[in-house]
Amino acid sequence: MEVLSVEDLRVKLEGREVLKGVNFSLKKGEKVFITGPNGAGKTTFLETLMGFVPFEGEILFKGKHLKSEDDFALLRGRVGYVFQNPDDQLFAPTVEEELAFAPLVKGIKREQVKEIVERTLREFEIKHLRNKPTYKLSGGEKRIVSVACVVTMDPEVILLDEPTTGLDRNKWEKLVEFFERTGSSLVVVTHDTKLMERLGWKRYVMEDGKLCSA
Amino acid sequence: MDTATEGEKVETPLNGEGLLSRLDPRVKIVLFLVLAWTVALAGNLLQVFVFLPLALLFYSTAYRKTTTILKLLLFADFFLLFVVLTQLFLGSPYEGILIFFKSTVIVLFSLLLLTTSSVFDLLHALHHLKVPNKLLQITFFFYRYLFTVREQLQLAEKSAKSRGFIPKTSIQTYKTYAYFMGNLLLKSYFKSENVYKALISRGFKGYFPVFRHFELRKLDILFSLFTIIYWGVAVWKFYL
Repeated sequence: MEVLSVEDLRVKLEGREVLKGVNFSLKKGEKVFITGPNGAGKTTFLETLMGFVPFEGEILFKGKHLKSEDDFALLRGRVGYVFQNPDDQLFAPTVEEELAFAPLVKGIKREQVKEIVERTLREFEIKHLRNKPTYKLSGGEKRIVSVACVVTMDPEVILLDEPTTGLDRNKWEKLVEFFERTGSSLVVVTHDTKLMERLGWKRYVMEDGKLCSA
Repeated sequence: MDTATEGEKVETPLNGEGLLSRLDPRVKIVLFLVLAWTVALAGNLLQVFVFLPLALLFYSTAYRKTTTILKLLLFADFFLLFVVLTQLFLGSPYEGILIFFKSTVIVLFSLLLLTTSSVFDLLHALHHLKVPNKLLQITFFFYRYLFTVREQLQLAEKSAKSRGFIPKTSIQTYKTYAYFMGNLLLKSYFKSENVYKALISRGFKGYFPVFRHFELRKLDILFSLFTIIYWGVAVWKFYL
């Protein structure tokens, strides 16, 4: 069953056509890579899927057409988005609060949130960062926390924009293990050829606003 | 939930590890506000000095390393000296000295409050004390991104210096700093847009849920009782 699909997606930004009729679909549990040159429209594509950019065409989540801001607000509760720059993504005072943010907003009970946070801290081996202010984290730590804080949402789909940039070997491995383990569908925008070779998922190439299967 | 036992302690501006850092920020805000307010109403030096032992007692239990806070206090007192000098020239030196000591004690109470709790804990405590949510959110984001702005400015400076820039009194220097400022303004604007996206992509609905909650403990009650009794006796004996 398709969880997320787009038909003839077109985006114009500042008079320039950034996405030129993109068609794409993602099945439940499916994991794919999107690669391509800089400025090809990969980030815009992810942002459009989240409803941040005005578009023409169709975006469907589990068969439902998404049009209004309310539709996208519902989608955002089930689709997680890891930003290209983790500095943009982390806004809470501490790592723990950052991880707890989405489940608390969802209205999950505090005791349950505590369990989710504990599990995620363990899963990503970041327990030692629990009370650290997010602006004091190193680049790699920020990157891992930015993924972890989306995972606590328990999303059906996760969109990740260059998630392995700046990671050391150990953190890179941790992230790859997570990619392999998770039951969520994943769309990973990346230039990391080692990552693509290691996981061997289906690859798409975004070039000049068009998406095609590699 | 007591998370202080696991991992790193929540950071406070001076990483105070004494008694005051372990207290509930709500208790500290209310008590220090009352103390500062009372000192502000003092009409003579005796009414000020009666609270000095209390301030010094708190001070001695607040930090392991006491010199940093002393430096901050001396820095504030340096400006207060100008007030004393002005009053001296205006012919009312007693007023000047009174203002000097009043301000010193109030600044000391404020420093004890601000340096023994993190800004986020203080904002959280203010939320419990019914300060408007929007005001707190603005303050929170202002404080949170102040560091990012500083970091961006430092990066720009590093970038310029790495390409041979040496600040001088010249048009080129002014122009470079104007670029820094313009760049900072634009980056701030774009960052604010991205932060908004980050908030709504995780379901932000106009309020900021807080995970770690305060618990009033025996220590807070004992501290409050001691302070209230001291305050009550001082006001009864010296103010009424």
